[in-house]
Amino acid sequence: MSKTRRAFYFLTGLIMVPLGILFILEPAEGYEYVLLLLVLALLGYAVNHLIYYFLLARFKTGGIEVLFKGLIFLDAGLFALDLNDVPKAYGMLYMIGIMSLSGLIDLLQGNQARILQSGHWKYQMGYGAGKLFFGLSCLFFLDSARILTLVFGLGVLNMAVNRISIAFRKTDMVYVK
Amino acid sequence: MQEDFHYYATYCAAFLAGYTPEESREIAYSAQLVDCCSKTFIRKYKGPVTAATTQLQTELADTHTNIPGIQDITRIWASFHFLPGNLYAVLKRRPRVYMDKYRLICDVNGPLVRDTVILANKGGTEACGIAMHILADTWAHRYFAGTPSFVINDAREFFELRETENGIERIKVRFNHNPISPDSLEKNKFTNCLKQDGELSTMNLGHGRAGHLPDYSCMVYEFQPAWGDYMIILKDNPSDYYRAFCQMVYAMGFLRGEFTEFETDRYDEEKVQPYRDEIMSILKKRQLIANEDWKSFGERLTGTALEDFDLQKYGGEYMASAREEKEHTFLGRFFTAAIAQKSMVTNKIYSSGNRIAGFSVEQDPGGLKGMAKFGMTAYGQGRGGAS
Amino acid sequence: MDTENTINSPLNIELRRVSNYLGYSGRAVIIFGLWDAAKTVIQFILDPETFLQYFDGGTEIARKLAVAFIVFIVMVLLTVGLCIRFFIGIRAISEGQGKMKSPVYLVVTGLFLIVNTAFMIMDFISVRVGHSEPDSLLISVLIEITSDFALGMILYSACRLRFLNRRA
Repeated sequence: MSKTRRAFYFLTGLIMVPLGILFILEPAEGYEYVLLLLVLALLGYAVNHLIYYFLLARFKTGGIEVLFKGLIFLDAGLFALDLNDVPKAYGMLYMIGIMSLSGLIDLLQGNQARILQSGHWKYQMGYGAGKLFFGLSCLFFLDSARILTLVFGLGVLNMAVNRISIAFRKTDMVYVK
Repeated sequence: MQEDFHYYATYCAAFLAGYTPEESREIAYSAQLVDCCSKTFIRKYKGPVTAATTQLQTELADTHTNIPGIQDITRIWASFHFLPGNLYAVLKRRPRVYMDKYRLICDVNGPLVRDTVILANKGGTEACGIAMHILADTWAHRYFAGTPSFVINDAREFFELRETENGIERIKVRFNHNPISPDSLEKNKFTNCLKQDGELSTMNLGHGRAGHLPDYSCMVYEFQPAWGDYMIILKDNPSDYYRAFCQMVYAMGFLRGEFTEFETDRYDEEKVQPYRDEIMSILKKRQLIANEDWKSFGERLTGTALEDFDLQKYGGEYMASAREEKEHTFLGRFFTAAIAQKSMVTNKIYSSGNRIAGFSVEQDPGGLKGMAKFGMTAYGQGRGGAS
Repeated sequence: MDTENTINSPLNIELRRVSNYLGYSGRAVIIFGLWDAAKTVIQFILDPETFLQYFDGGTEIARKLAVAFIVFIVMVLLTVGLCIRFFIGIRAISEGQGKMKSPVYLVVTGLFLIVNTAFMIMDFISVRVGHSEPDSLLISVLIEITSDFALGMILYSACRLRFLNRRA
């Protein structure tokens, strides 16, 4: 991983720590900022993929998958953008869904890392399980806004700590010469 | 290609070209050393790290995929394992950023092959060995580029074309990503790199997405490369490896002074013809590595025993030499030849207007004149100068 | 040499390209379908009270029944929509792999696309009459376009594939 990328992970992790705390202490404000972060992440990922497609991947055999991936994330990002106008409950559900899905993906990637005998598979699986746990736990507390924001805020802090740790971690890889 | 071809087959080819068994051993050793001479290896003997001809997995993991990192990776892999076939290739309606990678696709009989062999003419058996490794790899690794690129090096739809009693059978190749489980020809199980759609991921370097298929001499298969725009490539390894062998014999004939000119797409089939059947049977035999067969062939050919490749063979000599004498040891000459090759290829890539392999110091009016001042760069700093 | 039928003839290359587009478009339609279903659940199912604004008067029981009925209708429509997308997606993937060819799913795709476009036009009208905000409309339209792109791609790829196969 390049130094720039490590710095990016570290800084975004640092930004997420106060956001998580803010979410727990002042849910209304915290919600707005977390939603903004989510929108920026999704739209940024989508735009990145779309630019990559039009610049390079459209000449690649099977490159259309990059276009569709970009479109799906664009859809998700635009939907998140629209959430500001709807009741917060929907926005919360959307964010809970993203957190849970992201946790599931991390769990599967952790399992893949376990097969590849990477040194970080336990951490990765644990982190994914944690995110999934926080995400699914929120569904049990939909009636109690206070507990819901507390659990979700802890989930955000969990993600923040993970990003900071990634910045200092050595990258494992499978390489075939 | 693997040790079976780079070491043992090169030994046989060198002998057929007219070298003595001892010279053939040195050439073969150099050819195989190209696959082992990493920065870790060089640092062990306190040599110039710019002479690195390969990168270990751990070194690749530590290499940042920022611009300098990509340039470092490209310099090594494009210079020694994926020699570009045509640095001036033209495709319609492709942006510059795409063409910079496309032009690094390895192919046989390109102008750089000629430049590599002619450059080796200035060196000894070490330079010859390096050139033979590069030449042989153009046959095995063609259609892949020595730079990380998803849009060039990804590949799909692999089918093995296997000869059976019922004729040619088209069998889908199934890959897994578990590096622990070995490849199995019987079970049709192979390992390849994980699919990573990050453009600059090192998983997308070279033929990682094809696994070891290009390195197995018995494999005949077809696939769709990412750059091919849905074209199907047929890769006939036994045939390609045989031509590589014949071309090595011709190239080494030139290096011995048998010919005044070196031309690409020329093969000394006359010298190889008496052994064609035996060579083809080795190449076509379904096995993951053919060390024993090639070794046996080489020993019968030369009438002398051939020791197995020993990576540490010349390390002691290099370490024991005085600083001024290191250049004249086997490893010292190997390092010099490797740096010269890397400098030449980087220079050619740079001259074509492509910055992907970095800046060529030969072009810099105020700085070092290429590797002419190798001694100063290598021994003055201990890490080597710009390359 | 018969160049038209060689493995890398322009015709065969185009056939492979279009088959590949069809396969990926089919997968995209399925994923978009699942995503649409998830969005509908978030927007409509969990807060059925939103529909109460369209019912003035009536008893509490009548209003609850009306809401329940609407929720039921939305669930049915959601399931039907999802099944249609799965049908389209699976058929497209199958045809892309050269396994099966059926004109039925193309007709369904075309109708689905027309219906989606009609809903988009209705969104424009709702802005004109002041029931929706323009920025909400823009986002809604963009989302619809991304979703309909895959359907359009299926139609184009399947038609092109049939045309090329007739030439081959």
